[in-house]
Amino acid sequence: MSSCIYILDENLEPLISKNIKSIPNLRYIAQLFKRVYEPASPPITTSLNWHFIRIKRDSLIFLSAVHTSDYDCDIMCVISFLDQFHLLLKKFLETPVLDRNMILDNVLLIMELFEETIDFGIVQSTESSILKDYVRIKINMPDSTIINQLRDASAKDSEESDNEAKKKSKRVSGMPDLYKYLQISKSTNEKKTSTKDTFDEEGVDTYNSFIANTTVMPISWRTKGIHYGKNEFFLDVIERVQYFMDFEQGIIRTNLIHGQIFCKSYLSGMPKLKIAINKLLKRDAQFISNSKFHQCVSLESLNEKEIQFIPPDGDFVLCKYELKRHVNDPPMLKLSSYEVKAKIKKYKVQILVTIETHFKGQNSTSGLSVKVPLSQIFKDYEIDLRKPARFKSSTGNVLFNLSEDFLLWEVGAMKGGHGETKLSMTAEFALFNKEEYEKEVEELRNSMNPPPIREGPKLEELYKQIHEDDVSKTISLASNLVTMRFEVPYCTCSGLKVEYLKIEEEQLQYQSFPWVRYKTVSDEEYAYLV
Amino acid sequence: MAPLNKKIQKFLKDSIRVAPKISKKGELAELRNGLVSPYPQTRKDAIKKTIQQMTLGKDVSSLFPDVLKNIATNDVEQKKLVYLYVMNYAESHPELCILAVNTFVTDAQDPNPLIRCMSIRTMSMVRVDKILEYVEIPLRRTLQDDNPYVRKTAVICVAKLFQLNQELCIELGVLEDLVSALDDSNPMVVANATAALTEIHGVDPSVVSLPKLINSHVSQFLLALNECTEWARITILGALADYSAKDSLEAQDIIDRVSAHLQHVNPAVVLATIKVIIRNLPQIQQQNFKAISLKLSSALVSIMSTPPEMQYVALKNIRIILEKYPELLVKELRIFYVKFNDPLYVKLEKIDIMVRLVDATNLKQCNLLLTELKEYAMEFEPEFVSKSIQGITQLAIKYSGEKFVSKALDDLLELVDRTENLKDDCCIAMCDLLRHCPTNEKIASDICALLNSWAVPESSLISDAAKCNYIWLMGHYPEKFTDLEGKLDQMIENFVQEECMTQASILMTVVRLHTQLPGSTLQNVLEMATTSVNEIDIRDMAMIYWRCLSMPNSDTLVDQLCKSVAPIFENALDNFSTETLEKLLNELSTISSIYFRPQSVRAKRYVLRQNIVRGKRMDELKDMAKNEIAKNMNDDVLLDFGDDEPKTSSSGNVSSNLLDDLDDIFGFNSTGATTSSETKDMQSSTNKMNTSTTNTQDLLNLF
Repeated sequence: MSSCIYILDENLEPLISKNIKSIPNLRYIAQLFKRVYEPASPPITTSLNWHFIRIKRDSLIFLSAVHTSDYDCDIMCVISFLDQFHLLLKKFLETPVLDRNMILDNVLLIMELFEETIDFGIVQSTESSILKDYVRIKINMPDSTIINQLRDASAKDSEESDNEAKKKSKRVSGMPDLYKYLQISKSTNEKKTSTKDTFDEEGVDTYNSFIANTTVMPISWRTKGIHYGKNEFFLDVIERVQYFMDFEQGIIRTNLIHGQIFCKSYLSGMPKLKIAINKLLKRDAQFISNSKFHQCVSLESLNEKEIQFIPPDGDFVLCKYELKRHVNDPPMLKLSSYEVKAKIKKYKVQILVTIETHFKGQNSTSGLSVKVPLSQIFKDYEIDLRKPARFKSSTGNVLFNLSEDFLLWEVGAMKGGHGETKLSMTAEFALFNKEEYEKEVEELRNSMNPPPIREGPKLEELYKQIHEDDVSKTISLASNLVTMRFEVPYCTCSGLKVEYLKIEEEQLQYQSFPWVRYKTVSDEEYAYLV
Repeated sequence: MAPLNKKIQKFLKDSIRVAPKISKKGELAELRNGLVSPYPQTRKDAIKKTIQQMTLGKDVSSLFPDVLKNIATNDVEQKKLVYLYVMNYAESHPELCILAVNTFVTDAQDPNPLIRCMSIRTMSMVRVDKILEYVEIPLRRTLQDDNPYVRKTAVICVAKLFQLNQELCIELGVLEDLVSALDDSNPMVVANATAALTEIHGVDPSVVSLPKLINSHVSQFLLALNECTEWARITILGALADYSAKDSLEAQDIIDRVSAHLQHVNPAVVLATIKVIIRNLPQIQQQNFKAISLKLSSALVSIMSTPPEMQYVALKNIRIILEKYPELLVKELRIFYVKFNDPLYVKLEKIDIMVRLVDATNLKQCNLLLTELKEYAMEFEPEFVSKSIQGITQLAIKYSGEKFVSKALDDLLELVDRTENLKDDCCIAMCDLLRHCPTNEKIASDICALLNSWAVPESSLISDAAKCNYIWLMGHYPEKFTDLEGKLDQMIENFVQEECMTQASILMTVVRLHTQLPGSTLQNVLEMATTSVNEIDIRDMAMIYWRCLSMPNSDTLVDQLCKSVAPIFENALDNFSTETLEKLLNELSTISSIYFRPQSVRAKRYVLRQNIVRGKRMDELKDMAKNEIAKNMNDDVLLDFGDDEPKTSSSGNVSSNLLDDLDDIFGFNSTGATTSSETKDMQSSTNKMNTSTTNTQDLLNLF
């Protein structure tokens, strides 16, 4: 098992280290790693007497050193722990992205987290809701970052966060002391200053020794005595569709759904939940064999066509599944045509893009954008950027990204349908006209008039500047992809549906509010090779 | 809570707030004042600041006595902090740590289980002999604690103690307690005890007979499996994987009991489960095999949707499993298609798996893969492209139909045509194809036509293997090359600078064609090979050829030598030996599975390497030690190495080998090169002694 763990920054400087097996001179091992590290090398490297196992997350490297004499060390377990620890840190620091300074600002917190999660290399628990009882050090964040984060979050999905915020404020009122502290930092910044004092009064309490019992109980992920004024349970089914098609050859290379069921539990006591999913009821073989469940799910219950579990408190991922789609199943958003038309005589080249939707008519996408690559076109044709490029689209805006050679067609909302809803976009670039250019140069030379004033940026010069260095660079696969980004709320691509969600708490018998939402989003790989 | 009570509390808090705050600078003097402040809040703040400084790498060891004074408190948080500090500096201040022993021992009896745990956890981690002597009673007591949380911590402490001081651990007899913890009623205790025993077994297998213990506790493990945290499950599954079932019924039972865990979200649990199933798979009845292999395949597929680092480990393990059960993933080819955002190390492994995985009797699938590989070969990462081209050859040879081979060849020809710098890889690949179907005239002429068209082969080919193949081809199909002599001459020009494979190839080809080449060429090459080449094999080879050529019936002899036909190249994929494979299957998910080297083999190498590389490493270490000393003249951690030395070496722990080296070096460095620094150190340490004794008295008063 791991002998020591480091969190390193981009320059491989250790930000924090945890000595797990009383190894003298941790610094030496970090230096050794620095000497053997190469960014492209596999995550497991060996040097002298040490195996280095690392994962790279955000801009940080989480590194575990295992001595070579430790033959039985389970590598997958080490990597999995590093990964979970990273997620745990993000949860504790309440940030979507970790960086160097956050680690340095929260050294104490992280040290304690190490102390509680791993003992002599043997992982004890990584359940954030439980660990929050053990580690109560306040997070230390510069105020500005919090504000930025809030701004980012609200910019991302303003509508959603509004709702969330409302719900959250309701929840705060019913929260037990134990949770107040966590909620405060979540709520807005102004609130933070005002509630800080109350926290100081009640938050820092002596540790209640009953928390020690939880980790050793069969239900190690939930403490007893949780209480909420309003008992709510949120369940979000989010499906990520991965699709990759070779457009020219008409071959579909990937057509997959990665589904996740996210839950947020704000329930009192020890509630037993039963969820029925249509796929499970119908004994969908593919779903059953390709789904993974959180440790709280009693895996035996799956045979009874129900998911039974006692949820951990707060956020968790109940289930992950992966479904293959048939090659003939149309993608939710289909590139129905892509054409590059060169009108040599008119000195013009046109790109025509048409997309169509394949999902229920009553739904529509939010935030659809289509990225059309240009490098190939710029390579094949001599494009004259002195003349303005023209874009036409039935809906949305088209943006021209000069530095990375692509057009971004921001469509936004698009209605569903079965191939009948179509949108198209045309982009037109001027080709270099040698005759005309020579004529102009000639005219300029002979005339007394000053050259005509051009408004706006000189694209051709900018383009030259940017692309000066990479003339020789060959065009990679990634720069020939039409990629799409979209979200379709209230809809699952696989047709997965929650048939019912029952919440039972035998002792408390409270009324509870389950909320179920669906959403389909595009994977990073949702692309057409053109 | 009554409102009045609240008000009083608030009042109290407010009055305390008058307590001076510690500024962010963290000056030692300020911290020291803070640590002895009469206000508890200030003291706690000061401790926090001190530890912050400590983790930033600043030396705050001089505050040790002051921090230690704060250990006697009811505030768990503060206690935790002090423990954290003590752990870090205990080594450099063993004499002061003795003072903390009292607190450790009392804390181990605290009514709060959290404090009991903390004290025993910390105590068994301190690398100070004297503290370990006191550990006996608390450890024994906590091992029998009523609270399972304390017991589960205590069992791990036994392993810690064992690592630090084997003799003491055996002498105290706590190992027996550890063994009996396997029968504990609480599954978490069972899991941690198993983990601790595995750890001890890894250090010294003679102390505990782990296999025997596992054998006698299988039913406990199976029971505990469903009732503990995911991490404990991994430990238990790991133990189960070391157990061999008595008969097919038991094997089936074990598989049934664990297979639900294939659907666990944690990939480490899944892989550990797979390991158990693989272990029991050979024993089960044939009719059940299909159902289980279906489950296995979907579990393996599911690990492929994890972060890349885990995928990498999974792919390595899949490679091993596939070799035993090649039909397992036959339908899942698509899952292993390379994504454009995969890191390079995953891409390379994926190609390897796909070529192995593909069903050699299924033309459609092979065709699919061929198109896919061709696509990859047009990417820009050089290693990835090489691997794809290699994959194309491996695939063609695996499928083996001549039609398919020529199709693969067409693809290769197209690739060379498209991209200039693929010549090396394609040359090797094409020659391999030719070796697979040596009788196919069309393939041979296609390849030769292409290679013949390259104007300056010696400059367009870079790698040794590619050159070697090119020359080999010339030797075998001389009639298909124009200006053979000129091309060979170009190669021969650099004969001495070439690497040995190319040299051997030139030598063979020249001898083979000696009748068609001018005599001077042969003479020239043989002379160079026997006089200017360092490689003994090449010299020997040249000698033999020379002798043969000077024999009376040289023509027939050379003919015989050259005409011997190499066996047809049947398999381009390397396989494990049966013995290695069986071993690797038992070591899935460990480091052996990453490097494909089973334990025993690696253990030998490990010892061997130590002997060989030692000299070089000594120098490195010497330099490092010197630097270290120069940099941190008063770095207490390093200076105290001398104190630890007898302990670490007497424990005979393999893990301290390297450190021993360092210690040794430090030993003679301090007498030799760095005498001046030593005297300074002496001074500083005496100074410190003075201050510490006064502080000690303070502390003694306290207790």
